[in-house]
Amino acid sequence: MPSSQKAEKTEYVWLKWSDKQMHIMIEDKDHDKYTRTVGEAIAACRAYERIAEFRQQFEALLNLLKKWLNERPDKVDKAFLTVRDRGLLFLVVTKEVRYDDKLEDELVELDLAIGNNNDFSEIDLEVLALPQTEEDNYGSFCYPEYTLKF
Amino acid sequence: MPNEVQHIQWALHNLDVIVYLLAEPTYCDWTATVSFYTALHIVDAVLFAQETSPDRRHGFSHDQRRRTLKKSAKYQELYRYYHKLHKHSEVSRYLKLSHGKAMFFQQYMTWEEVKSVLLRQQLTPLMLEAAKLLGEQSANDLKDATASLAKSCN
Repeated sequence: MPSSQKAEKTEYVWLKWSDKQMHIMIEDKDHDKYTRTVGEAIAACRAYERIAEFRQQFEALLNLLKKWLNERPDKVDKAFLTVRDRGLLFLVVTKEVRYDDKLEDELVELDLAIGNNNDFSEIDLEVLALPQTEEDNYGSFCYPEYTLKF
Repeated sequence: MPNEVQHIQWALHNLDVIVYLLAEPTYCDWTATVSFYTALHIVDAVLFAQETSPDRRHGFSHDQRRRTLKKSAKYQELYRYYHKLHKHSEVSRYLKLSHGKAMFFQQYMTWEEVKSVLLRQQLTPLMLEAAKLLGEQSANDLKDATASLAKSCN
């Protein structure tokens, strides 16, 4: 935009909570129409904000988990992030079949740190370390459509 | 729905099963599974004793229980043990090799480790930690039970 040209002023349709019972109609590019109350539109905006927040936190979570894994290349064979119950599952498959108490301690501390960090307020994460095992076994913990392999 | 005392009675019953299993070193996997269900009843007894709202005292799913333990500072030490016991039970129940489930669990954790790590370093401290958060009778019952368990592990 040339600097001499004045920026176009944004015009707003202002919907207020005091009009929460009022019905509105929204039409999209395909001319599909959505009728909602103002109260429902406000709830949808809040949900959108939470989704945006979740996406941001999810990216931060991935970076944190990658860092945790990179610090333990001698112990971890594979790792996945998948869904379980109402949240996420960070699944670690160790290189050894033997139980590793130290790794388990480190994993539970990671679990507590994430669970009590406000930067991950939208994230519900469970952690699980499985011993070295066949794919059928650890695969049964992974939701096929929603699994990310590190 | 069971109350604090009933959960502790269930836990003590499960501890009797653990003592019974300790006589035979074949059942590492079942010892792990029963240990987890013992811990689960102890944790539910604690939540019954400590939580005030009715929906939080009763009917916790695994998911709700885990979240509640993790988020409150007073339960975090309990959670550290509970988490490990839960994990061992998942290994014992869901992982297998073509030559059998029990064989796999013994590769993961030997009979000696079941006694020294799982029972002495995880279930016993969970019981003692829980005793701090329970009523006097339940706390005494759990402390007595840790003594019996220690004796059976020898």
